[in-house]
Amino acid sequence: MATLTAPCPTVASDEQLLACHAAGHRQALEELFRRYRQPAYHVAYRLLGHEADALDAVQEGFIKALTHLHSFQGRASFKTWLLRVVSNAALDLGRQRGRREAISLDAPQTNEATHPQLLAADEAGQGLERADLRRLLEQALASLSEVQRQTFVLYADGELSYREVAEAMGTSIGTVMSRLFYARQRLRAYLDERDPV
Amino acid sequence: MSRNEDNPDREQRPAFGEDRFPADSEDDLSEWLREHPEAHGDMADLQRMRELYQSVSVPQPEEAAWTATLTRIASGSRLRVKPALRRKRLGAILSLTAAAALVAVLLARSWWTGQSSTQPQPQLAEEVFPVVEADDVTIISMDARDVAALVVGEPPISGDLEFVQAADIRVIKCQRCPKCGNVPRLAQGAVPMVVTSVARVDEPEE
Repeated sequence: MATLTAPCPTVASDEQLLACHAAGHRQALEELFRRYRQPAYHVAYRLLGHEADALDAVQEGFIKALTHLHSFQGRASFKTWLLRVVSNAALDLGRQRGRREAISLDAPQTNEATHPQLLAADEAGQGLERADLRRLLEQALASLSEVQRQTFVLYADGELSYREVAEAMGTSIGTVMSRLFYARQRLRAYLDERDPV
Repeated sequence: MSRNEDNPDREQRPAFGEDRFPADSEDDLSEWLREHPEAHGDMADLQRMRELYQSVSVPQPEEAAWTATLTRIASGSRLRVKPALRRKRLGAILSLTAAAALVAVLLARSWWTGQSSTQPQPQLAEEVFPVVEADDVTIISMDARDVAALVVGEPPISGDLEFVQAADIRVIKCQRCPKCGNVPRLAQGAVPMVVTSVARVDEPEE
């Protein structure tokens, strides 16, 4: 049974929340989850193209990140660490299950039908356009190599800086630059070829 | 500008793009970028591409799915987060088991000692390896590395092998190994003779 030595601060830093979590405060985990579930999910979804798989990757990523804290502490922010683990979990999951038809180059997406709230904010036509654009972007992303895709997704959807991407991927900032350069070139070529954006 | 052309700006360009570039070096980089408009274009295009992806939302899970995910994370991390505690428990269990086993062994030994003092010690039967003929053996497979060690037919030496003393041996001839060229050295004394090759002697040039 964990011993709760001190109450968790109401407004806490990630480090404080992690300490509280280690001490057994459930609220600390809830707060960490609330803070980072969106970037983690965005990264996982972009890499997997499937909602349920993305949630699985988020789940696995959070669990691994929290149970292997000793591997990261002091080297990067928790967000960088978490997104690294989530993206790796997503890639592992993708390899295990194969990328779903949702990202298949030909398969139509029906997520709007299951998530009508996405369309509520937009005009219906505009929503469909956005859906088309999202499909196109996902297809373009799928044309990248795995390592380029992970780099770009951490940069774009994880909203990490170049240095943070480098830390997350355990590589140099020059390598990140290079990967992003080629990823951008390829994405641009793919998008221009199909639908100039 | 004194900046060399060996792509020194790989680390600086992203910092510049993210407005984190040191102000005192900004002029240099701005000048370099003016000379290399393609780099500026690349940076701007990458930023546009990032914004494009960020502008397109991904399907959002229902709140219930988030809640279920959080619950699984909580239970999953609880199961795995306290390895130290589990290690302590495991260690305690192992210690208790080892202690119990030790007690059991001691008890069994004392009981066995009491038994053997009253009962005659059974003679250990000497197990003799059966000797078979070569025809009795069928080699199904063997490692290629063992082929050289395989002896087929009569064993090379009959009888027991014994160490000999140096006095038991009379050296008739000592010559260079025809294959490796090494020369043996004889070390004689109270210990069994040791033959070692100590040097390679080349053939004298004619």
